[in-house]
Amino acid sequence: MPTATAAGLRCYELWDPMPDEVREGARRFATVQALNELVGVLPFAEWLDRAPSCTRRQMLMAKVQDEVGHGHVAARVAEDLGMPRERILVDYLEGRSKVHNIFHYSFASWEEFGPGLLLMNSAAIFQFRSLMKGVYLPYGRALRKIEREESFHYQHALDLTHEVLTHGDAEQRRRVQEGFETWLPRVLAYLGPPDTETLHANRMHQIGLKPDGNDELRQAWLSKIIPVFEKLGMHVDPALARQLPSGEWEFAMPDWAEVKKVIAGGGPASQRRLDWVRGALDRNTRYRRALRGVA
Amino acid sequence: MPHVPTDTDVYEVFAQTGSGSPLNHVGSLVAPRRDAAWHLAKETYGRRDDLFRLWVVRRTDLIVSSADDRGLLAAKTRMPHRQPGFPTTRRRDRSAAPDTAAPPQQQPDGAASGPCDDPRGATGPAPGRLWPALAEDLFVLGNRLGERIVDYIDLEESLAVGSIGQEALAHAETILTLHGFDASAADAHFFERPQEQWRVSRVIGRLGDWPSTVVCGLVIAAAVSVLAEERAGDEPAFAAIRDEQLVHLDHWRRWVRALAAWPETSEEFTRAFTEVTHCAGDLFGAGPQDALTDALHARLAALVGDSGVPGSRLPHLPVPRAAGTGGSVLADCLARGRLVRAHYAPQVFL
Amino acid sequence: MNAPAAAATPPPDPLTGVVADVRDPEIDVTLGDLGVVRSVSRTDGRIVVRLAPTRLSCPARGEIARRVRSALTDAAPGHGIQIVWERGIWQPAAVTAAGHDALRTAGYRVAGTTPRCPYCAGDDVVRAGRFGGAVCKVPYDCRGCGSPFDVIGTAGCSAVLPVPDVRQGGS
Repeated sequence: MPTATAAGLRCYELWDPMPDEVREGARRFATVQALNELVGVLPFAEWLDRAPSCTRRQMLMAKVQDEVGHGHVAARVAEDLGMPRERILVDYLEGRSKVHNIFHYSFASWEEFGPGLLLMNSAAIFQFRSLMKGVYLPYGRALRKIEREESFHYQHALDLTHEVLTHGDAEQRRRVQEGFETWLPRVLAYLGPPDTETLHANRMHQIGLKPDGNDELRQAWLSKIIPVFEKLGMHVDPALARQLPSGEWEFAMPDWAEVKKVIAGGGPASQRRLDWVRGALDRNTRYRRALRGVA
Repeated sequence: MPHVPTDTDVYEVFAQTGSGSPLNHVGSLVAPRRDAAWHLAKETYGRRDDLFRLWVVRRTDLIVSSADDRGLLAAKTRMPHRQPGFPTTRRRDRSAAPDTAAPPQQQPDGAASGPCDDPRGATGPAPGRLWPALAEDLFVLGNRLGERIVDYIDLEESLAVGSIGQEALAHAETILTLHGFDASAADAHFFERPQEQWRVSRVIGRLGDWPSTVVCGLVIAAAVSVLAEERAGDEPAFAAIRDEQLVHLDHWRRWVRALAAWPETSEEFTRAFTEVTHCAGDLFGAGPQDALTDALHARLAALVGDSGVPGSRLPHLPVPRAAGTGGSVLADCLARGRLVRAHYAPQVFL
Repeated sequence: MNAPAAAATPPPDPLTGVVADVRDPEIDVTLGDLGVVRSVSRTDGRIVVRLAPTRLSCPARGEIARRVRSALTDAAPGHGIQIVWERGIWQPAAVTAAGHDALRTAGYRVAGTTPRCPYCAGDDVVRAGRFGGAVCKVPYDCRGCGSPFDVIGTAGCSAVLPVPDVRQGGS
């Protein structure tokens, strides 16, 4: 008996006959996620060799590994739907796919790393919680697990930020504050352009692969994350985000033209990410062939 | 005229086992801070007997005879077991070789060097000296492998190097824990010691291209699993280290065979295999060489030989480790590791 | 077990339940059901908790310790708390029946038995590599329903699972 989502849409298992647009849509979601896990981990991996203690280093390495593991999971889901995994990074290098705006930047300091990680991680959790309600069930199950694992990294990010705020000097604490203010607008933009008016016409929403609207997610995320930063003792500038008596959040609207430019490759680290991936594929292709050829 | 040794990390340990017995010098150790030295001394010298009194004093706070004063306090400056970087002598072992038994072999110039520089002449149980050296290798290897997660040889390999890297770091830390370090002392050991005090294997300097990394992984996993086997029966953590390292060894063997057999990579692989195995003779070369280290080395050689590719140039007998190895690989690892840490007070980080 | 021996064994400290109920930070299962809690004892106002990590390099140790401390501080304020990690002794067999259920619901299976899909219970599964996203996990794919899942186990656990990894990346 076919299962159904809350919206009453039919759900699909791998071997179920499904409309092409559901199959293609699910493949695209999983592919986009795989790419963003693989490239999106680079800003964090850059800090591995600077993580300042055995425990912090192990935790960061575990985080980086886990993100790549999530990329592996998403790539397997995409592969089942017809996307060869080898193409994920190649399409990115050849301009056929893009990564989210937040991965076009680097962290300027360890102090910025904590709040940046916390903002990105919590927003991703809200994305996953939404997407896991989608109609392609294997992907939904994968996301449910991933979301739970992300919650563990969320604890790590919170703890790391708290550590710097507690033990850092005034200058270091100031950099945490600045990091928050730098990354908040970027992560607000990561959740996508306003769509309250247009969601009903979004085909991915209609077929049940994008259950919630961007604005809905952004509001829910702000309700969760802003009190977290306030509890950490940080100042939340009302010009950046403030809650109205109705409970709704007002926030500094991202400059969407700028966001678009960044995603197209105009961000400060855009080229750096492309160069890294290209270098990695270039120097390792023959080793990959060796493993495949003999194994 | 007395001179003061300059190595501020070296502590001398004195212990009294009963109210009637004298307070004896029982050994020396290296620790990053006073509290770590105290902790380490308790762990190292306090385990076997109930101690009545324990004194730990920084060597630079001692007034020690120089070469000119030989004959007055010669035993104190000799301490043949001491070794930069780690405590090595447990009480039970010292009973077999008391301080006073060793003949003076002071170098003509007393100021030439503090610690004994001749590992073959050093005393102390071999495994106790081999572990800390392998922990250093594991730490650097683990860091390198972690950076390889995003090298995307392929997705499965990213997860492999990440897992092996995390476990290498955890094994390095576990080894220190089993030798009495608490977390902050372990951090200080890996993050704050100057490069001159490290004694990594020569293979660490080769951790560059992928084939060399594979061979480094292979020889280190082989060495660690061989040594862990010695203690696996009486300490579950060593058994776990052995089991995990055997999984790593299996992984590297698959790579070794693949790279050797594939026409496109066989030439560069053969070169890497030759060079890295040639450097690997010192994996068990951190302490005195005796029948035990020779036997461990033979098992290492058998494991490396068993990887299914010819051309190993592993020396037939262990080669002593030297200070100052590791080259830019170690230098970068240490320098990068201090970039954030240097701006915070000690013990801030979890 | 005979009666005198049973009588000689002190009953577990009531705080054992407090520790056993703490939830793992990464998977929705309690530490007790995961088989991580070895013992909880009280001496001279100090609580000693012995925990066995699933792997030596378990990155959740810090967060687990924090949660255990927090739970004990709530349940028995004013005690010193010492957490001892017993390394290398955790085994898949330590997972309780309730633990197996919780893990299955969360998308995991435990090493040591023939792996079945935690979602559809099918046995048409393939290993998707030797190493997973975390050191305690080995990735699998169910060919029946298409769901990725993980097997939780110890070092070399892949050796006890007689499943070939027919799914290798790439072509």
